Amino acid sequence: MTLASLLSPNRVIADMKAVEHWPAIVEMVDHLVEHGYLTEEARDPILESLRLREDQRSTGIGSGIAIPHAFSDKVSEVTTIFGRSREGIEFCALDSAPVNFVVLFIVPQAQYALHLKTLAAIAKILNSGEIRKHLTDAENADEILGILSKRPARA
Amino acid sequence: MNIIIVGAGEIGRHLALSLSREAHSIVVIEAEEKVAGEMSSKVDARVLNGDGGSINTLLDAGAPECDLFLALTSDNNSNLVACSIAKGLGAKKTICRVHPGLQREEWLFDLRSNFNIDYIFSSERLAAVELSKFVRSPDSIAVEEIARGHIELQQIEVLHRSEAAGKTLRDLKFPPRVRIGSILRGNEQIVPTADEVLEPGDLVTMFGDPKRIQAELGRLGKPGGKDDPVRVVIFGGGEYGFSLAQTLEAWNCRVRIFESDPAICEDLTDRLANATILNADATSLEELKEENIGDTDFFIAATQSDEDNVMTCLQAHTLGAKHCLTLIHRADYAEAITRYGDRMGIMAAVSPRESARQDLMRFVTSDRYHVVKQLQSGELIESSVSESSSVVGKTVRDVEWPRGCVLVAHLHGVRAQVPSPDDVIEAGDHLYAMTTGKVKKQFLKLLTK
Repeated sequence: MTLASLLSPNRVIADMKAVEHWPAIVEMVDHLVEHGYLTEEARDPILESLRLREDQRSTGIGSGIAIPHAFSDKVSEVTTIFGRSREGIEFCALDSAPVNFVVLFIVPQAQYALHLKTLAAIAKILNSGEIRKHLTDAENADEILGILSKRPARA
Repeated sequence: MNIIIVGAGEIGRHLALSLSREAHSIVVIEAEEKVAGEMSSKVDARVLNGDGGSINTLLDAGAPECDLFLALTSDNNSNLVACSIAKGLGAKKTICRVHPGLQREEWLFDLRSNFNIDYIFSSERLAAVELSKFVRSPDSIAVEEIARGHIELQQIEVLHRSEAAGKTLRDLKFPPRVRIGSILRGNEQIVPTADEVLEPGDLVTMFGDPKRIQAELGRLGKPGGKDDPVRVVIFGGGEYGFSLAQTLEAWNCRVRIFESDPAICEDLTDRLANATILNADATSLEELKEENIGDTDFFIAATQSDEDNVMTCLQAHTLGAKHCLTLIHRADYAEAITRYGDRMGIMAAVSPRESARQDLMRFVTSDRYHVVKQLQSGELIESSVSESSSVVGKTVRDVEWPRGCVLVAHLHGVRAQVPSPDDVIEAGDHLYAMTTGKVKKQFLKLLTK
């Protein structure tokens, strides 16, 4: 499975509007609702579980990457969205650096262990400086998807 | 406070020595008999020769009555297990030292809940953050992160030729959510109002989002030149060097790393997007010359060897590097470098054990509040808002704050900001304020009653 197979052009935001931690997460969840990947009813409870997770510790993992995630019974399959901000988002990351790439994951409660591996694999891909450079240079959502489809998301 | 420290290595010993000078009851647990023996002759504490993961040892140390339990050995697993058992036995607060590698994985798995740990840190990362502050703000006297790193405090001197000299704060129109918390003018502590005029020589403490503050500092101190990237050379690509490079990449720095191990070089090249990795030995004068070290703004020695670090700093200084910084691991060397460093061209020496001590001191207080930073111009304190407090539900504007107290940060859940007049205060929020003596008591009373 590649990260790209969990995405589609309307689940990639090539230029995010938000410049701060929490508004960025809200922007991504709202985008999923708007395009029918999440129901209106699911929005608030999902935001709440994402908030609880970020409250424990920011999912900004350094090198301009953040992988906010929550486990929820409001989705039946894993729901993902990728966002890019060339300007950078203040995410209170581990290295205090702004975040340029956000991968948001909502995982069905029952698939916790399965998707933990997916999350780890995605972090590994984005840990590559070369991939991050390509993602920064990409012109649009399709090009971003192209880059993400090159490597397997699960090692 | 009843404090238990597991591990009498550099970090544990340093903290135990420092805490034993205050009125605390300290127990140190150390597995190596020789180290434990040395420790008990040096420190005013009860030293137990035993395993921090043994229930008998922990009971003997008084874990059930312990206010603060710190697992500070260099072994992740021992520390995690010791914290987990101590909490199970009744220790109030547990703090665990881990390697930065494990800390980088923490986002994926909630170590803290699983092992009952209140705070996890790595001394490598803390030292890297400390070093990065010098690079980001070379003119600042003090830089501190507060409210989980969302807000930064910087202390800077107002220079004669700066834009701010002779102007009132009102005229300077600082952007929203950037605040001057205090001014030190000679020996006079000033809690500023909008009409305060800044004078050359004033020591100003500014609070705000790190990036926003950075943009304002040029108005108080040295102006201009901010657009050129800062040229940084790091000697050593280990955990310290990597953490440092990762942090600096985001701050308009052009980073080069000297690392003699080709395997580490390969790994660094893969992980860092913008840094240049040189497979070269910085202890060789020839290689330093070849890489034009004289052109760099900062040379930072970050290997495990104090001798190599200091000597290469001297070389880099001789070759013309503008500022040299070094890590110092051994307590015995740190003092000499701190005292004589500037004569040798070393701007500052950062020691991981001291960075850890400074970070951990905030846990060594009563529950009601803690002193985040002691500044010449006053005390920065943090306290949480009780449900019974009269400020709950009010806006910042509507609260009658004691005179001489400046609210500088408001932490609500994950969000932290420099407060603006319309922000509503809720129970459980954390407030940070600059205060002095009597005002502190009034401020704390306001948050609790």
